[in-house]
Amino acid sequence: MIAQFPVVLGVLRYEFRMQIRRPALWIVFAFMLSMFLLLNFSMPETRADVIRALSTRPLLKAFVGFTSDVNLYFPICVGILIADRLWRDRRTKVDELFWAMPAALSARITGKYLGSLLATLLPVLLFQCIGMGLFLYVRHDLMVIPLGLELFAVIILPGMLFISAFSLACPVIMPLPLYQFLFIGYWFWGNILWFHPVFLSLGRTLVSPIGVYAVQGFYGFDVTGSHAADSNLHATPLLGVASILVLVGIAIAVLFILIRLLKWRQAHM
Amino acid sequence: MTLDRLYYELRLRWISLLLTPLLIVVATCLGVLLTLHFQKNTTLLFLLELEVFLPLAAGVAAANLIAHEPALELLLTMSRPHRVTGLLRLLLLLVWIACLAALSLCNALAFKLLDMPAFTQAWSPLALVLTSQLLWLVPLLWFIAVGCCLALLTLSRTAGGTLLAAFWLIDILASHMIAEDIPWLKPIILFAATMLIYPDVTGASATLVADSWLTTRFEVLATAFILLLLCWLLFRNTERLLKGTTVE
Repeated sequence: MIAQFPVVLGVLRYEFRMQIRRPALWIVFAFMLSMFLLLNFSMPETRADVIRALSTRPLLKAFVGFTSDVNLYFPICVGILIADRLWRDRRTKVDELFWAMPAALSARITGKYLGSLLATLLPVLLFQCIGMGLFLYVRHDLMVIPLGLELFAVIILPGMLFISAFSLACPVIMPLPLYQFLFIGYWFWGNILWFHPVFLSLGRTLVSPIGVYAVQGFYGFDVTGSHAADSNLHATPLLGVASILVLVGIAIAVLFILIRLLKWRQAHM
Repeated sequence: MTLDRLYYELRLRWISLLLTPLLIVVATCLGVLLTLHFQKNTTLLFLLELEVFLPLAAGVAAANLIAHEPALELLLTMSRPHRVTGLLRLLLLLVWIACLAALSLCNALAFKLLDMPAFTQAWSPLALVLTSQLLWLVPLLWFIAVGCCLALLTLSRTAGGTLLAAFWLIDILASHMIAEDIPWLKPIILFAATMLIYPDVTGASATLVADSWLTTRFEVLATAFILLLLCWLLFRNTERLLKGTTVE
């Protein structure tokens, strides 16, 4: 396993560079940024509302609301941008070449997963930094920087690890356009409708990539920035930790199943 | 000859063209049966199917159909221009989803599974059926036009799919904000019936329906036609299309 570590690092570095140079990644980031600016700053009234919310609401509540918004919009982009990574190997017909190499499949998949995820997360982190900049400009408080990074690690990262594992694995067993559509449908059903108790939604369970349990358990608000009691969900810090562990655990399990599946396919070719 | 060609296109692209929209209709049917079993209102399910999900499926499929063509170099050497082939595929997609949506809407209206504003009771059944088709037709045309445009501009089906999904999500979550605070962005409200008129559909006044739904339908339709024209122009730049084979 340790002997394969340089392989993981090498694949990670290459995948990161390949993903970070994709125009699609930066086009999507530019689009999200322009929509954010259009919706919040294009009219004097909305601009005044945003500045008022940034300056008068308690810092933690306002920043949790901002980070949860980032975590509501960006994962849909991250999921689709990662979905074609393994499919691309098949399309460019290099997968058979990889199988002939001494590098273990598990090392290659791990490196691919981490490299493409880290690169795709960079625009999300940049967006979070824009949020930090806004809060810093309005509040003049340097504490927003560690707070922003903490919220990124607690709210955004576990969900991203979870959806990226599925996005890498699922297109192996279904066509890419079908996965893209099913993923968007899942995001709507499982995460946008989480506050509707009538809908049986994964968003109200520990398997919630928008971090409902982590946000409520650790900070006492729901993901919309409202008071936790409003959502009728009883989350504790322990359940928050459990939610993060479940998300990361499922991501690892999905990668494990993916590696087994690819090995099985390789053996039956 | 033309029928053979259509049949061949369907066989070649049946997953993108036929399967995804069919899955949505089947899922809606199951949802409706379940909702009726619990004696709840089925309006939201039909609105989500017709206005929100079928158009999105069409957009994602359009982006995939246009941006992903393994035999592009071969197609560009044919006597039939590539843009005709591309538009034929889009037309197939449009007709298939339009058939599914129209059938679904007519069934919902016939069995009174979809609430309509009270003032429409004075309308003739034909007028009601024809006007209500705008529910799915406008977002469908818009998504196909945008999916095609994005595929031709970015030359990447991933970028096209991601941008469509992001815009779809923003449109769902920001419709109220746009309607109330940013009037100049009203032409991008795609899901007016689901986001602005539901849940009080029956009680919606004629003024509200005209302002929030009908006016925005015509504005969205106008942008869809402009985008389709742009697609036609982008299709003519064949050299640029070839660059896309190496983008992803």
